[in-house]
Amino acid sequence: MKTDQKIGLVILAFCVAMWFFIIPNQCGGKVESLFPRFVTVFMAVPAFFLILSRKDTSKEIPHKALNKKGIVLVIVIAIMFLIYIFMISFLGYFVSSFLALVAFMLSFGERDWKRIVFVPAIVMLFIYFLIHGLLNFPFPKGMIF
Amino acid sequence: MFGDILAGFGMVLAWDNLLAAFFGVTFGMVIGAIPGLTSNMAICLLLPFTFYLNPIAGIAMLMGLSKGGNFGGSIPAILFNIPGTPQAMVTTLDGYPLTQQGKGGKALKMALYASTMGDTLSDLVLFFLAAPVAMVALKVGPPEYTMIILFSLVVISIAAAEDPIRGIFVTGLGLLFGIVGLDPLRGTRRFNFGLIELSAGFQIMPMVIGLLAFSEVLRQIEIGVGRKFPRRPRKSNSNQSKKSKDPNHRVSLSEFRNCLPTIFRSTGIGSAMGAIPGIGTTIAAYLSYIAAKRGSKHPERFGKGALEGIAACESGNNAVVGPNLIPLITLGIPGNVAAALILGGFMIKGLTPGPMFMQRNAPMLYALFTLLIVSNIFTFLVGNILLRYVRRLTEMPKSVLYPAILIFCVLGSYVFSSSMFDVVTMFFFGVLGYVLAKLRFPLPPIIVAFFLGQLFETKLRQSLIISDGSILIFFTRPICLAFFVSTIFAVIFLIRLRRKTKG
Repeated sequence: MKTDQKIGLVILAFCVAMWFFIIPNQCGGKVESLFPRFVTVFMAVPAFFLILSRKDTSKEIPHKALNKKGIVLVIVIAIMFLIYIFMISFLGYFVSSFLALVAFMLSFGERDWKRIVFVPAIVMLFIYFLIHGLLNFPFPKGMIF
Repeated sequence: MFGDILAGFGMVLAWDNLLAAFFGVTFGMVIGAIPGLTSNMAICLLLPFTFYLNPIAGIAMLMGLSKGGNFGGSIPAILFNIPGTPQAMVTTLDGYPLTQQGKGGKALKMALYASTMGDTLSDLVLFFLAAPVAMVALKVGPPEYTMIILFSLVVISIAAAEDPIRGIFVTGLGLLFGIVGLDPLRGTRRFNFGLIELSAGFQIMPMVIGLLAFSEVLRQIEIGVGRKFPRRPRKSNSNQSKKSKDPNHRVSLSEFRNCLPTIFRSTGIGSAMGAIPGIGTTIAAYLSYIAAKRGSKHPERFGKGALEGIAACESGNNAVVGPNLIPLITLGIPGNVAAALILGGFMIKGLTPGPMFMQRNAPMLYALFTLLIVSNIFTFLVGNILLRYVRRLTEMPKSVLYPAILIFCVLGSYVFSSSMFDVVTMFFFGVLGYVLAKLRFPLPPIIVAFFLGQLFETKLRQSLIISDGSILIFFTRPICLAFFVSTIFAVIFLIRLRRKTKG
């Protein structure tokens, strides 16, 4: 089965779930569900065309897009990002963002220690003075700061 | 009328009026350049200070904020693919590819020239056509809104994607995200799956930052694996002086001349959209972009770094600002959030916009209109200075730039409504954007459809209530019929254009 056909089937399955299960559970009545049903049909129509498509788009995807090492690094960065968001509630925005910036720079291959220390410090100071100081915008606080 | 205009000119030349306009433009530009901090937020922050200023200075400062913010949003859009404001999202389509080609300076300059020119021309529309245009705007009701939005959705879904089938699907996806939250007419919750944070639906800025900026960083991470991110080379002073004359950082006279028809066309579209309440800068930017692509001799360059693309969306979205005052001043109807805040500014000074407003306060209004044009000169001057320094941000090594972008993605999502849930939303849309981009689905139609979907549903249902459920209402009113016919012609034209391009 070609890539477009697989994508079309997944979308169509989602549209069926929307029509028969999600919309009846989430919408109050006929009038409220009118537009959501219209949107479901709007999405199902291109899904049909994708299933009927004879094009094999997987051949058009450049080889770089199938870079397995790259995809692994993307997953690692995404997990690091989730940890960073989680830590904001414990360490506060500024401390966790400083540590996150150091971690991301190391992941991206930065090895100059002066940059690793000074760039996060400058960025955090900039945000602190402009947004927290001048605009008086509150940021999440943590155990330290 | 000319007596009022001359009296208005006399009121403009006061140092406090000019200083207020200058400050508004500068502050707006800086705020607009920071993702998540929109010019509307800047207006909210400075609105209380207008109490201490005279009426002209106060309103001029607020308008300057709006103008500066509109241009400021294009700076991170071009340099980092992070739109500083929702309307700058369209600028990313050609601005960021130009930065990737080492021509970020050229893209920024074109954005500045197109913004100020579009803004100035539309302010002239405001000057001379405020009253008659207001009468036309009054005729736009729910059925007309429905057809205008349908036209926009159809054109965007076909024109904005290489594959129209994928374009239609992502437009549907954007509409789907738009139905999360509250039913627009009944106010009942729907599709929030028990999450209180989703009661008001998804927020626009976290979605935009996630889909465009965060997903782009993930794509760059994947592409950049195995390569060492280059260190920033040391520069001598002679290299610095040569850089200012580098053609990649300047717009030549011939390039600007080639973009002039696009700027004029987009200004017309933006002015028309601005005069109609509720349409907004984002739609104007997108329609201007589509029209420019349709009218270009090289439509295949759009989306890959076409200067015309930047000229179109920047002049289109800035041309909305001035005419947005038309329904506000003549009818007392604010056209968008910024106009509503400016209405607050008028009321602080004891002025009530409405049908008699122009007749009672004509010299003051013309003084304000003149200051709007002067603000464009300030935008040009301040923008030129700012661009010399911000362009250098792209010379940062990727090992510093991308981590900084990730941190600013969090900042931009959080400051919009002080909610960590918005940061999680941004992450969700970032991952979704990355997956969709790998499967060759375009991302901008999702955002435009999300933006338009809520308004579309509201106006559609209002129209059906007015007509007791009959859809004939969309074919019996002249403006509705005109847009319906335009939609069909646009679809035929775009499909034929695509076949010609492929052939």
